[in-house]
Amino acid sequence: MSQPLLVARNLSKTYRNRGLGGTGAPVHAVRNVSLEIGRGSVLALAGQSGSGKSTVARLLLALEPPDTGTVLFDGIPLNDVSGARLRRLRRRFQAVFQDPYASLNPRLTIRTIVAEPLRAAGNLSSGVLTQRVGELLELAGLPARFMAKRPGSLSGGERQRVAIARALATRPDLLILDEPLSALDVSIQAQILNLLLHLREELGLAMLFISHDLALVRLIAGKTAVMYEGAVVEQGPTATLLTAPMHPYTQTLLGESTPAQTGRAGQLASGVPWPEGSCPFAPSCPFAAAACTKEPPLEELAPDHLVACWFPPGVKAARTGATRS
Amino acid sequence: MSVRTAPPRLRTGAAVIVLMIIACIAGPWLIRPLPGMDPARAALLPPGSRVTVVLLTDGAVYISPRVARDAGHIVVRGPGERRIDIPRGRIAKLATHRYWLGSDRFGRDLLRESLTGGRISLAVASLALLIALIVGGSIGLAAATFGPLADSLLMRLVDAFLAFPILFLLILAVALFRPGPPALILVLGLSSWMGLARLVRGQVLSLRQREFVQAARVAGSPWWRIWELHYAPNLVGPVAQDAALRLGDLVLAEATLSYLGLGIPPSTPTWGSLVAEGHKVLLQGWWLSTFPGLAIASLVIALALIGDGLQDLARNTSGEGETAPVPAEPV
Repeated sequence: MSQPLLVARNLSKTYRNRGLGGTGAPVHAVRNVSLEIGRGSVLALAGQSGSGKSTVARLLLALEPPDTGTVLFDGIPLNDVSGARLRRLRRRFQAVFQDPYASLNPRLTIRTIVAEPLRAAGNLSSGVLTQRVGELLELAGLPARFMAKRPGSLSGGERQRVAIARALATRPDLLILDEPLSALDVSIQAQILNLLLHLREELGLAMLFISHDLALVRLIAGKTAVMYEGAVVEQGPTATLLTAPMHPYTQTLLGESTPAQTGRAGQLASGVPWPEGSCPFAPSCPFAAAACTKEPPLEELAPDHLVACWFPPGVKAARTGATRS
Repeated sequence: MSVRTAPPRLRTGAAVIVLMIIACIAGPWLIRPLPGMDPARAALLPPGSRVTVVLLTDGAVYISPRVARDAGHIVVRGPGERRIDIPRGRIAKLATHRYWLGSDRFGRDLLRESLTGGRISLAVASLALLIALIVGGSIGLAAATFGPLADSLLMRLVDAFLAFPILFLLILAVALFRPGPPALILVLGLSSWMGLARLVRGQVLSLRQREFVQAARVAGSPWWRIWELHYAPNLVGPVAQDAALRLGDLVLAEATLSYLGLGIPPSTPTWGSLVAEGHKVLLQGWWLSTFPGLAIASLVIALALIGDGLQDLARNTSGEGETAPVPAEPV
């Protein structure tokens, strides 16, 4: 079996205040996250806001270095490449960001925006650039005449199509989509999702699809990883994970159980502090027990199904090690 | 952007500034003292006064505010309102000068002095702004670019400069250099870059977090292209706006310091020193302080208008509705 396209091993990232004498508690945005994305397959990363999904995306995109851990893209460790080599490698993994109002520079024309990765990739004549940009816009479902416009005159959906056209410019193998639909109206969401499904079929793109909306995840991803407070708590085939979730947090997300501690409007509280070293979900978990003062490792409890919980509800046999403590 | 689409405030402000600059450059060439004029005879003339100089063929000179003409003669008013008839044949040259803004104690034309002073005031303020832009821009960029340690150190430097009393800096500079335009430019420049440093640092740091800059990095653009496409165009607006307002402050600061006698020596006219000179004889000549003061005020207001106009412009180009009407969402 060929190696996966993207492998992330034990990524961690902690943020501290900028500058000398920075005070305040460090934020553990990503804690020991490992992911794999196979060629042409789609992995979804789910979890509520603040769970570290976007930070994972930034680490995978080599926008910032992880504190620990490695990212291998096609076997190449991203930590070890920099400068021009990294820029060449970047052509093969591109990104679409959450907010199409922020991800397009308002001062540039659509042509300049979509042509940016092409220019970075090599010297193309102006005519060739225009032709390529036209093709890309068409691929993203926009007429070529949009080239002369600026983002200010486009709707949210059109902007997101421009962002997708830009991401496709260098014919990447992998697309990292950070909440690409959450800033859009529901009707537009469906159109963009259809576009993404179409591109996956047509171009054989691998995708990391980051979303807090499990209903969307179901439609596009073969595998899903669920994050809570910076760590992956459950990972498995999307169908299994959504029909038979094992982690209490995933169950909460799916509305199958009620969290013990809720924030405003009955929503699951985010950022509930938890004692050092214990399971981060324990303060909100309806099934918390004594063993939960130790953080559970992510282990394969069913074939291809990883869960980080001492007492996964719905699973008959409690895990070894947990019963003894 | 064309002139017609520019915000009205920007247009008004820019028009005033351009007119002032043209007037200051061209004015002192066009308005020249009359040959043979005795300045003492024109001291403290109110705005609008006229003086006629009559040069006779034998070399004698008559200077008179009023000249009456009749056939064959002209009549001038000599000292003590004495009437002097001069036959036309004896007149070599007759010239009249109008003091639109009046004259000062030494009989100098205030309009000409003000325009000459405007040259100095504008040049000093612009060069000081240039220093502030270079120093503030570099320090702001360095703070935003070279990591948290450099950032902390440079920003503490900014704080130190902000806490430093400018008057002390000035006295130091006057002690070290001869007082005059170079020292004043240096002092004004070195005491007004801190705001720009903070502005540039803040803008760069916030732009770096903007998604379109992240997207440019993901696109594989080299750093200089990211600067060209994304940082620079988004920095120009705020910096230009700040610079316009700061230039107004600098003109005021130069005027204040020259007024206090700490800036440019009174022998060189600037708007500040003209106001200072004029206030000594304010009761005899109200116009002497008033017109240079009005010049300062109009310049500062025009620069404020430009600053506001640039802000409008930034809002228009970064906001909605830049080009054609929005077409329907293609399905």
